[in-house]
Amino acid sequence: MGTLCSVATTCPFCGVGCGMALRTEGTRVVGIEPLPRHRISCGQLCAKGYAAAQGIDPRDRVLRPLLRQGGDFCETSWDDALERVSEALRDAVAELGPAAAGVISCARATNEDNYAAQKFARAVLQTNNVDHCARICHSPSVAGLRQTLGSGAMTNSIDDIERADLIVICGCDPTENHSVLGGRVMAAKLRGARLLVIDPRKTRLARMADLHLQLAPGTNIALLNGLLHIIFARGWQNREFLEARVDGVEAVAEKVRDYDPARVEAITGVPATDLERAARMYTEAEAALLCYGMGITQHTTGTNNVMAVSNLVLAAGQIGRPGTGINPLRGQNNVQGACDMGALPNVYPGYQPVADAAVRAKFASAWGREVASAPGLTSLGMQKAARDSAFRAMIIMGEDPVVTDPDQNQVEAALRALDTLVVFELTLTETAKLADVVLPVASFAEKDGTFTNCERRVQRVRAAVPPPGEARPDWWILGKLARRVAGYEGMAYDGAEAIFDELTSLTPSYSAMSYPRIEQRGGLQWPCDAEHPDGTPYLHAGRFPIGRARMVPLEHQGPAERPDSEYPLWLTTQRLHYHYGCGSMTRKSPLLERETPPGLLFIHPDDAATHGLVQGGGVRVCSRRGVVETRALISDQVPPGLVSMPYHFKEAPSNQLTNDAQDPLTKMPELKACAVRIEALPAEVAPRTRAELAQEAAR
Amino acid sequence: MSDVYELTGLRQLADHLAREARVVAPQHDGEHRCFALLSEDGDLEICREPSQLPLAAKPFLFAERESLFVFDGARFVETPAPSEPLVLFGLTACDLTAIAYLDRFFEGDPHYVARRRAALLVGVDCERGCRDGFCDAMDAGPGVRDGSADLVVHTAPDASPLLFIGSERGAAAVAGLALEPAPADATERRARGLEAAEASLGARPHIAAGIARLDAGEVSAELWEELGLRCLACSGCTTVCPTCTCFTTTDEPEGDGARRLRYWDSCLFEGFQREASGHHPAPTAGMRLERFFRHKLGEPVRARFGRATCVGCGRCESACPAVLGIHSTLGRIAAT
Amino acid sequence: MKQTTPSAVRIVAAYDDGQDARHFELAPLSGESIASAVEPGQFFMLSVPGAGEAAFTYAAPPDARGHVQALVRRVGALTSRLFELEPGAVLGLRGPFGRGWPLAELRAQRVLVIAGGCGLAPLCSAVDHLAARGAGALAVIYGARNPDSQVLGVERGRWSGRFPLLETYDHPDDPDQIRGTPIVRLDEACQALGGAPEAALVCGPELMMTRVAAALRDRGLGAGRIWLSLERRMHCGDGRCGHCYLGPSYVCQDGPTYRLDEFQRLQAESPPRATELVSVHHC
Repeated sequence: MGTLCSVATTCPFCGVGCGMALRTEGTRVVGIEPLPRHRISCGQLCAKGYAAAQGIDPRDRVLRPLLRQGGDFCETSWDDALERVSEALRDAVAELGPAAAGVISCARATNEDNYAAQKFARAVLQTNNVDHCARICHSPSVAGLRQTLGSGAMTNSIDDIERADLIVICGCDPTENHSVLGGRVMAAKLRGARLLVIDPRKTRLARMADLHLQLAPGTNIALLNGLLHIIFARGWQNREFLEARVDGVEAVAEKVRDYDPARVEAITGVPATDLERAARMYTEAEAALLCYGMGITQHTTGTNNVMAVSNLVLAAGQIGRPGTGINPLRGQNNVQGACDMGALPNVYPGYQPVADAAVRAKFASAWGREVASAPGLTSLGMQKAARDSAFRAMIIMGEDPVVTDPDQNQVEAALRALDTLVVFELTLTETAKLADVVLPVASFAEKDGTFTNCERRVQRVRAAVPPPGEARPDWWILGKLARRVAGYEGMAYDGAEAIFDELTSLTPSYSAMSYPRIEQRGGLQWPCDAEHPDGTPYLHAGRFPIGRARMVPLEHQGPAERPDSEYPLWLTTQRLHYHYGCGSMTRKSPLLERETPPGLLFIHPDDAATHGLVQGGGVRVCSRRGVVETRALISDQVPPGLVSMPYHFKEAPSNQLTNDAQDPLTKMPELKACAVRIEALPAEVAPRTRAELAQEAAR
Repeated sequence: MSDVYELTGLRQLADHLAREARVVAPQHDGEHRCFALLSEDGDLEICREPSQLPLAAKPFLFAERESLFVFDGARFVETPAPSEPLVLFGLTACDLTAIAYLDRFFEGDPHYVARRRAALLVGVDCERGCRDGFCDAMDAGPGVRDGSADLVVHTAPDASPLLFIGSERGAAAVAGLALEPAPADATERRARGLEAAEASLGARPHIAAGIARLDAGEVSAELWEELGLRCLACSGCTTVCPTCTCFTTTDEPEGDGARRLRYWDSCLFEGFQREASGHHPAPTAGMRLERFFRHKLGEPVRARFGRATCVGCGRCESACPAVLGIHSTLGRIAAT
Repeated sequence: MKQTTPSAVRIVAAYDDGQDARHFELAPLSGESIASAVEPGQFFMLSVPGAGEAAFTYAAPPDARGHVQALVRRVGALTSRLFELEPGAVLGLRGPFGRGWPLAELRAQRVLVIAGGCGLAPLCSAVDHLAARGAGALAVIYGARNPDSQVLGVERGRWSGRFPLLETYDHPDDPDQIRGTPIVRLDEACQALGGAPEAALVCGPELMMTRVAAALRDRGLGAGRIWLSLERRMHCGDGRCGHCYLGPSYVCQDGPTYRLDEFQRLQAESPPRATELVSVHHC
C-alpha cells in the first residue's frame, strides 16, 4: 500500500532541468514532488512537471513491438521486429548505399541514447544522416554563435539571472515555456532588476516589463541594427572590450549607419524613442543578461538573427562576466545534450567536425569500425530525399515530426514515400501511426542516464520503475540492431553508465565527468575537463574559443512570405505553459488537458470584430499550404494584423499552415512568420479536427 | 493525558513502534528528503524545516492518486483504501494541525478515513523557528498542539528527549516499551523550550496586518489582478500545502469497464471551475488567487472550520515560482 | 460514510426533449437501492462509465419503483457519450445531494417561478409540488432561445391550463410568440397571480438570474424572498472536491439553491469583476 518510494531525477520537460522526485506505488509512478535542494529549481516546478506522472503512465503506452499489417498494427516479438528492421536497413543500404538510410534522434532522450544513435548511424549504417529537432529550434544558435563566439550554448547560468541588473528577453516566452526560469526573471524584477522585452506578442513578461519593444514579425535584424546604430552614434559601445576582444567592429559600425531610428521605426513599428531608451538601458547596465528563443531562430534569417543578437551583446561588452551573456533558451529537456552528443549531420560528439579526417580517424579507431565520410542530410533533407525516392529507411526515436515540423502535408508525403519507417515511441503518436514498425521504449522514469540542460549542466536521470510491458531503452534497441545489421558488438552496453564512460572519453568538453561526480556536484556544466574539473558556470571569461570574437555586418531581410490581399494576416506560432511539444505526454494529464481546448488561435479584439469572431468561437485558418479549424481566443496578447497558434495540438496543427522556407545555412524553417486568412465558422458549428478535414477532403 | 517519559533516543521509540506497524519517517537519499518507510538500518533524522519536506505526510492520508471504485461492466465495486497500521513519525506541529483540519474536512470520506484510522501520529516539537514558517501567527506551532498527535517528542540540546502521551492510542502504542519516568520538571522544561522556539520565530507583523486587510475588504481588484498576472497556475502551492484538499476524478478504461480515480487538483487552474456550459465563476487569474487566499485565511472560512486553513508552514513560499507565497503576498497586501 | 461508489441504474427509456436535450428515465438494477427521499431542487451525480461523472437535477424524484427522471443537455464529452447510449445501458447514480427549494416556507403563498432554458429542469418537480398545494397561487414564466429549444414538453403539457404558464423566446418562430427574456412578462405574471408574488424561484444562466432578480427587486420583492439555483462544476457532490466553491460555501452542500441575499453575501466574498478577457495571458 501507500506511496513509500520516491526517486530523485530530472524533469523531462524543457531545457531548464528542474529537479523532481517520482513517487511510486508498485510499478507505477503516482505522483511528483519538487526537490527543495535542487541547484536550479529550488523546490519549484511548472504545471507540466507536476503532471509528469500521467505523461508516462502505462495507460495508452506501446507495450510490445508493433508491425504494420495493412491499415492496422499487430504485436510481435522483439526477435521478429529486430530482424525485420535489420533486414530493411540492410536492403536500403545495399540498394542505394548508406545515404539511403538515416536516424532522427531525439532531444527528449538521454545523452546515452543520443550518443548511441549517432554511433549507430556513423559506425553501423556508415552514414552521417543523423539529426534531431534542434534543426527546428536552435540550429541557428549553434551555427551563428560558433561563428561569432566559438560556442553555441548559453554562455551563462540560470543563477546569473539573480546577478543581472537588466534582463533582456528577446523572442522567447520563458514564463510559459521555461517556467521556473521565467519565475526567476519575475523574482529578479520584483527585487529591482530592470526588464526589457523584445517580442511581437505581449507576453506575460512584456506586461511586467520596464520597456516592451513590440516589433513586427521578422524584423529582428532591423531592430538590432537600429539599437547598434544608436549605440555607435552616441558612443555608448564598450570600447575597451571591443578593442581587447572583438574583430569586425568597424564593418558593423559602418553597416548600421543605414539603420537610423526613423527607418527602423518604419520597418519594425517600434517608436524611435523606445529604441533609444532600450539602447541606453542595455549599455548602461552593470550586468545585462540576454535570453533569446525561437522568435530569433525560427526564421529564414535565423542564423543572421542570432549573429545580430551577438553583435549587440559584443558591442556592449555584456558577456564573459557573471550576470551577463547571450543565452539561447533551449526548448527540449535534452536538446543541448543531443547537440553535444553529435546527433547532427556535421559534427561528432563535442562538436568535432565530420569534415575533419583526424576526427573521423579518432572515432573509427575508438569504435573499431570504419565510419562514414560523406556529409549527411538534415532531417528536412532526409524528408526531401525520401520524396525524391533517394532515401529509403528511417528510424525516428521519439520525435513527432508530423505534428512538429513545418508544412505537415509535405512531412506526411515524405514519411509515406519511405520503404521502411521505424519509430521508437512511448505512445502511438501521429508519426508512429505512419510507421511500418513501432518499437516500445522506456520513458525517462524507467531508465538511467543523463540530460544536459540549457545552461550546459549534465544531470542524472534515474529509473524509478521498470518499463511497462516489453519496452526497452533506446540504446538497448540500437545495440541489438547493431549486432543484427552489421555483426557489430561495439554497442552491446550493459547499462547507461558504460555508455556515459565511453562518451566522456571521446568528448573533450565532458571528459572530467562521471556519474559519481555528477551526483556529488549536483550536476556539472561543460566544459568540464582537466582544466575545469568542476565545470564552467559562465563561458568566455578571458578569451573566446576562437580567440577574438567576431562582429558580422548584417542586412535586414523580411520573412519569405508576407501578408497580401489574399492572405492578409501574419501567423506566428507559440507554446502554452500547459503543454510540451506535440503534447504526447502532457495531454495525457486530465488537469492539463482541461485547461485549453484542443487548439487555439490568438487574435486581437479588432481583428476578431472585423471577422465576426466571438470568444471561443470556431474559426477556419488557411495558408497557401493548408487549412485548419480551431477556436478563437480573443486577446490583446497579439497586436492587430498578427494571429498566433500553439503547435501542440494534432487536432488543429499549426504546421498545416507554416512555411518550410529555410535559413540557407542551417535549413531552419520559418515557423515564426507566414501569411494566412481567416473566416469565422457559423455559430454552433464545432471546428473540425485535422483528421475530419482530411477525411472530407478524401471524399 | 499527562504521562511523560524520558527516551534514550528517537530510535528507541521508532523501533518499538515498528514492531506493530510500518513506520514512515523523514528519510533522505543524498540531498533528496521525503517521508518514506523507515528501514531497519535507515537513518532517523528528524527534519523540522517544512519547506525541505514539500509533501510532508499528506499522500499517506490523502493519496495523490486514489482508486475509488471499479465498474466491471455490470456493477460498481468500491476499492477500499489500505488500512494496515501505519506510524507517521516526526510530524511537526504545523503538519499535525493540518491533519486535524483534514480530519474535520474529510469526515465521512471513506478513503481518507480508512487511511487515517490506520495511522498513529507521532509529533515533534520544533526547537526553533524555520525560515518561512509563521506557525505561531496561525496558532499551529512551534509546539505540538494538544490533541493533535498520539505521541509527542520534545527535544532539547544536551538533554534526553521527552515523550508526552497525547492519546489513549498513543499510550497503548508504547505499552511494553521500557520507559523511564521523566524528571519532575519535564512539563516546565517543555514550556520553556517552546517559549524559546516561539521567540526565535521573530515578529512578523505583516501576517496579522495582511489578514486584517483581507478581512476588511481592503485589497483592491487591481492588486489581485496584478498579482494574478504572475500566477503561472503551476499548482505548486496547492500541491505542497498540507491543507489543500481539492481533487478531480477521471475514469480509466479497465477490462470491460472502468476504474474511477481521484487525483489532486488545484483551484488555481483556469479549468478547475469552468462549467460545461463555458460559464466561469472566477474567470481571471486574480480572482482565483484571491479565492485561494480567502480560503486559506479569510474570516468566513475561519468561522466555518474553527480556524484558518493556513497553518503557517511556509511551503508555498518556496514552491511558488512567482513569489506569491502567503508570506510575500500578505507582505504586499500589508504594505499597500 | 459518504457514498463515493454509485449504485447501478439502467436507462429504461430516453427521448429527445428539446434541441440538444434528452429526457432519461433511470431505474435501479435489481439488488441496488437508491435513496427515495428527494426534495425538489436537489441533484444527483450520474456516472457514465469510462466518461466520468457529472451533476444532474431530478426532473422528477424517484417514484415508488425507484425510477428517476432526468433532463440532460448535451454540452461536453460526458453528455455526448450519454446521448449515444441505448435503453438497458448501465450508469451509476449517487445522491440526492444539496439543498432543495424551500417549499415548506411557501405553503400558502403567491409563488412566481421563472426559468430560462434548461433551468426549467431543477424547477420541474417544485412546480408539480406547488401546483398540487391546496392554497396559494402559482405562475410560471419560461424563457427559451426558440420554440425548438424548449425542454420538458410532456411536463409543460401536463401543466397546461392548471396555472398560468407564460413563455418567451429570444428568437420566436412566429409573431404570436413573445420575444424577449422572462422579464418582459413579469408584470403580466404578477397580474395572473392576483397580486405581487410573495416568493420567486428562479433558475437559468447566472446572468439571466441576476437580471431577473433585479427586476423582481424593482417590483418590491425582498432579497429574502427570491431563491436561485446555481450551476457549478462538481466532482463529488458532497463538499470534498472543492470545485463548486462560492466564497466559503460549497454549492453542492449549501446549494444549489440559495436565497438571493445569501448568494449576494457569498459573492461579496469574491465579487465578480469585469477584467481582461478570459485569463488570456495565462494560457
